[in-house]
Amino acid sequence: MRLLLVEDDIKIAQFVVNGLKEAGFAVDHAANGEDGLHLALTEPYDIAVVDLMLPKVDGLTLIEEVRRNDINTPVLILSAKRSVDDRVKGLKTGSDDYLVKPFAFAELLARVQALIRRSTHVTAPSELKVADLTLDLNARKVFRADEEIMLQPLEFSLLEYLMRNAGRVVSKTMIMEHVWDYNFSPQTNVVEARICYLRDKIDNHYDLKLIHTVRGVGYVLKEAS
Amino acid sequence: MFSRKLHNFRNSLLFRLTILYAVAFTVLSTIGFLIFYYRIYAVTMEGLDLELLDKTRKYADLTKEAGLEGVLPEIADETESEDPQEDFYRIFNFKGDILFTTDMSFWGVIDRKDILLKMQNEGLSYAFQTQTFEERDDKARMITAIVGPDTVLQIGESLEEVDEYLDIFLELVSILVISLIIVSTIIGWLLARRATIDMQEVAETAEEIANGSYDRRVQVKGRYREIERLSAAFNSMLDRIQSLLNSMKEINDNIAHDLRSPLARIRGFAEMNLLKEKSIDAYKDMAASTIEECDTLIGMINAMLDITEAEAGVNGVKVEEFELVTLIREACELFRPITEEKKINLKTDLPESLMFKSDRKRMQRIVMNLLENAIKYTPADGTIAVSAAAQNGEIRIDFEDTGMGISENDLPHIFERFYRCDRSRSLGGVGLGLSLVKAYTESMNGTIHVESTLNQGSRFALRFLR
Repeated sequence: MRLLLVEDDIKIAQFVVNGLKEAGFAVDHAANGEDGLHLALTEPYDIAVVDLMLPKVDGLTLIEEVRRNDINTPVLILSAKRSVDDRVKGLKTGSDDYLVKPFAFAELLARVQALIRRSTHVTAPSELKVADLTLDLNARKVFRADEEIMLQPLEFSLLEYLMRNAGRVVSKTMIMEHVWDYNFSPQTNVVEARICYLRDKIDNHYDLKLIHTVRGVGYVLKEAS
Repeated sequence: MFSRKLHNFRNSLLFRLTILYAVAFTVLSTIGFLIFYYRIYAVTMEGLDLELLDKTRKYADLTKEAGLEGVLPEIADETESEDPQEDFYRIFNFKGDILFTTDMSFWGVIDRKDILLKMQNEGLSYAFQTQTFEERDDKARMITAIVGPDTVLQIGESLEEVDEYLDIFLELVSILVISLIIVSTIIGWLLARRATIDMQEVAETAEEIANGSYDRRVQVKGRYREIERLSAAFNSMLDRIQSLLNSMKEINDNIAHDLRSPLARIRGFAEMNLLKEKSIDAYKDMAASTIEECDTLIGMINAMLDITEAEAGVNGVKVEEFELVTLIREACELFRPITEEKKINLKTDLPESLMFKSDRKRMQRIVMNLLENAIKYTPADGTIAVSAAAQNGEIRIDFEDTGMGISENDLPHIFERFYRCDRSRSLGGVGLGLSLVKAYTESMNGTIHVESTLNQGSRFALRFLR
């Protein structure tokens, strides 16, 4: 997957580029709007990540120009402006998603992958499977090594989210937002408490642990630690 | 410079009041004296006419008794001692033929035919007329009266004396009016100055405050009622501004403290790790704690922005209809592991359904923050009761806990930004949760009240219009 990053803050660009490369993306980085626009118009990208406040050509103009040239590459806006109006303006210009700085890299990665999935029209599976853990989306049942595990609705949706993002770290904020529809994180760590409960049921009686904590970042569901 | 000063002076209240006072006084006193003058004039003329009429009557009686021959010596007696310029006497018949006259050399030609004709036409026995002698700047009042058969007496009297007397009177009046104008201007100025000097003091105090002496106040006592009120209002406004300034300063101090502490921890931790070669796990630990501290900072900044936005009304309320009972149940459910771990009994008393039209996201945040707050301050084995109902066209949501409670001193401040009851700040949190609850509640046209007893518990009561 080829990704274009247009970002003038060198330090942010550096960690985003490194992170995305590690996640398997081929990343081109432009440090100003003019170079970014040139790359976007001449190279075929699967996705573009664009900052709004850029030298020479600003982010919104860049996106408008790209759309005018009938290039439908999904675009994710990165911006320090957090007001709803700014978001709406960004999305109206033709971008597909909006992420406010400062952001968790895990969230950027998840959103980039979601945009790519959406643009390549992957069909929704009816069953999620990681190692010997199976989650049946239609029957809303969970099995570990053929043994049914009873989960509460909140735990089921949490596990579903972790399994959909298997192998990727998801932050607490992402869980609050995507699993329980809260756009903020309370001080009290309700996510951690819920993960603990889930671990009790999914992992405790098995040698192979699937749910892992990445301190400071979030949680990941994967086979190997 | 000078013209500007003049302009300022002319626009001043002092100047305007003085002028207004002087003008009003001048106009009123002038009108008064004019009326007075004309009354005096009229009375004088009336007296003169009566005197003349009396004389003619006297001669008419004399004519009846003694005929013309008896009258003439009387007239001669009368006029002998007098200046012939002061009055004249003439007697003529109905045709106008002069029968007798005093010395008319000074008076010149005086009409008698016209007045006779007029008297005959109108059937009058006497008539008055005033003749002006332009070349002498003099006037005479005359009476023409029938005193006997075919005998007419005409008496004329110079008005010079009367005019002189009235002129002196007019002069006096003018001097009086002019001095009154001067006195009234001075009095007006003094009165206006007394009224404005207090205002000037208020203005001077305001200027001093504008230059930074916020503790200055205007003296209230011993002033006019209006100025007293103005001063009192001014002072209470100043008190309010000063308390706002103080609380802003406190907020600033708190922000500085609350933002600095995580930064100090990040910096200190990083520095320690750089001083000595550490294991990879130590570095991981540092990175993780850095992220945690950063998340705290981001959360604080976002909460501050959220509060400011809600208070300022930007990004207004997004209204949608939602099931409040579900929202509260979900929030309680989310905290269930925490309450179970802390052995807190989380009870709910909710109706079957409670539809509410407002901002769902903000309501979520309000409920979560109040729940979190209750859990934080309620010890093990305590109880938290959440109830909601529709009553009297309102929706009420109550959060009651058996926690540590809030002291009377803290109670008025708990909704202030960065206010925390424990000064040591050991219980965590940044003191924005309740501020946000209040800001959001009010942005949704709701109210929040709190009752609390120390060591017994607190009760937060939300009321929303349906």
